[in-house]
Amino acid sequence: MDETVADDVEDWDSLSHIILISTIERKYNIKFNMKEIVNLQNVGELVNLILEKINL
Amino acid sequence: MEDFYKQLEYPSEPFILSSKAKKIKQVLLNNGAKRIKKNFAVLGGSTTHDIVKILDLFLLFNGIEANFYECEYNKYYEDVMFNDENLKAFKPDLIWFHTSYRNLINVPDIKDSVDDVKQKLQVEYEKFLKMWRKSFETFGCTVIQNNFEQPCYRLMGNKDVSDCHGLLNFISELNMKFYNFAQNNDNFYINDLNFVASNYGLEKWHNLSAWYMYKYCCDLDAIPRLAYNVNLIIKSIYGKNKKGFVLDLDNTLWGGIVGDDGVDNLEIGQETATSQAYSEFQLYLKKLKSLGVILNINSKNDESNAIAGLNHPDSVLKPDDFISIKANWNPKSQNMLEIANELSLGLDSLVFVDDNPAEREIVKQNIKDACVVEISQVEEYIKEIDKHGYFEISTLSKDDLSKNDMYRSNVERKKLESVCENYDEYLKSLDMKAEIKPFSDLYMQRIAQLTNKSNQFNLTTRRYSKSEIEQISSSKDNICLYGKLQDKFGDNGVVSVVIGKKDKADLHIDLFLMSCRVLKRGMEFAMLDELVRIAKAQGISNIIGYYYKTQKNNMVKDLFKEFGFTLKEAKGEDTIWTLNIENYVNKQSIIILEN
Repeated sequence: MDETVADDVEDWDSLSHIILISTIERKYNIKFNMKEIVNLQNVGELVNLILEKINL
Repeated sequence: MEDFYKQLEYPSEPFILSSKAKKIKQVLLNNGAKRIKKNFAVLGGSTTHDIVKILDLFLLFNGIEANFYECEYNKYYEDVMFNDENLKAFKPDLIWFHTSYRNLINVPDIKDSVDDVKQKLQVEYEKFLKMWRKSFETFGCTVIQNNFEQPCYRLMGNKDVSDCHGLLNFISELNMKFYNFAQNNDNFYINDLNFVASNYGLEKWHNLSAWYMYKYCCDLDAIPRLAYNVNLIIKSIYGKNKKGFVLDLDNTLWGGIVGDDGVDNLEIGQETATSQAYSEFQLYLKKLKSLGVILNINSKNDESNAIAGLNHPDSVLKPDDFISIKANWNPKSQNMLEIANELSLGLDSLVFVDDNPAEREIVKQNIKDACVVEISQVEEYIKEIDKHGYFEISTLSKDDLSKNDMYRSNVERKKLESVCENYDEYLKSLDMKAEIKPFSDLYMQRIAQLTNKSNQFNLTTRRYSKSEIEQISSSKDNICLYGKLQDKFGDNGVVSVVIGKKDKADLHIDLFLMSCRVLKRGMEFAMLDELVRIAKAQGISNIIGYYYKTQKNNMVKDLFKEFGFTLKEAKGEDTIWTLNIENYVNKQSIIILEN
């Protein structure tokens, strides 16, 4: 769901967050900067950010 | 999952470990290996969560099952100084202070006088000193302390490293103070964070978004390398180091094939780039040998060619540098087994080095516990081997330095054994002399080392740290004996340890171990004779012996029977034995006791 946030996921921790981000970076061969990561509010925004990066 | 084992041998691809940590842990926990259990407190000045997760994997892989305690973020000082009730309840065997330059508060300012800077240095140092002392006094544990890495900027440029106002200069001064403490204190080890960071590459190491977002002092991909490095110290403390190399010759120790190219055409020496690389690799091995690492040869060659190659005038290593030389046409796995047998060493304590991937595969497939190192080109050999930290030195004992002589004497003894007609005659010809006495300060380190290293001739496999050994030996409730054995081929040093706990007229044998280098020499009987003599003098009439089965101590399952004990109780394969010592008759007379 686009509105899903970290608190909705059981056992979600900083490591899960880090792994998610680095997996996406590897998978799509893209890099997020700090500002982009800290501003992410939910899954939908993350998806949009990925789309934006691979369409560049 | 198949690729993760390689990552546990050395984390070259960090992502594999961090993304599959949970799964890998499950696999390791269920691999049926015997593990020791320890309590480790990780007190960090930056985030430690993922570092601990990965460290856990390396330790499990090395046979150490850790129970971890982590402090709240950046509360390392408070935890050890003021929150000691929690830590006390946790009973740490070891505390690792994971601090970085980010944790320095009193750093020099350009307006400071030389004395001001000295003052600041002292303040920072004393903060750490207090924590270490408190750790020793309150928890009696081992301490691992990070040194400081170089920061990501240099305010004064190159001057920063030499001027007392430079942060770089301040850091090196503080590091020197830490090293000084390490040189003068046992149970204290420096985790060389500075090396790990430099080796990883400072520019990548200081991934500042990882600091700002997650408060990690390093790049996330550097975490496995950092965890690996601290794991090296821990596995070394608990006796999990490798003991020696089993080396191929052709294209491993020299360039070319001695049987085809002839001795004169081997690439070794200073003539070409390739020969220099082989020479430096040999020199590296020779230096490791001087630290007590055992060298052996396992080569497909006629023995005469192998020896001729090693006698090449430019060969740094000579036939004498090796304990066992197997140059024949047998499968290398078979040679490995024979070498391990000759040296009385476990197969998991030898590192196999061969440039040929096919040979490496044969050894890997036929020997379950074999440690096989991946090497590529001669110019990479040293780095490819060294990074594994197989022989990480935690304490350098005199025994380690003369280890090669000891193994060599063993091989000579075996030769003598085959000449003598009967075994007693052989034992007598050895002129053995033993010293069996209560623990003394001089040997505490070696005694603790033995309790952590001995697996085969060990009845209870209890592990003790040096401080635990000191506590036990100072109590009047225990009878603690060490045994030294020497013979005409050399001094074996301390080879046996016995700890007995008194309970009225009973003595419970908590520990009875012997180094495998003196198997079948009657030393265990000499230890028992002396134990009984002392026990009798202290009013003991019964000795209770315990055998706890492990994967490795099968050889002593009937020891108490041989000692004349009676079986009292059996739980599975664990057994309890008793012996009334009132009419005890000494069991051995060949070894002469020189106390």
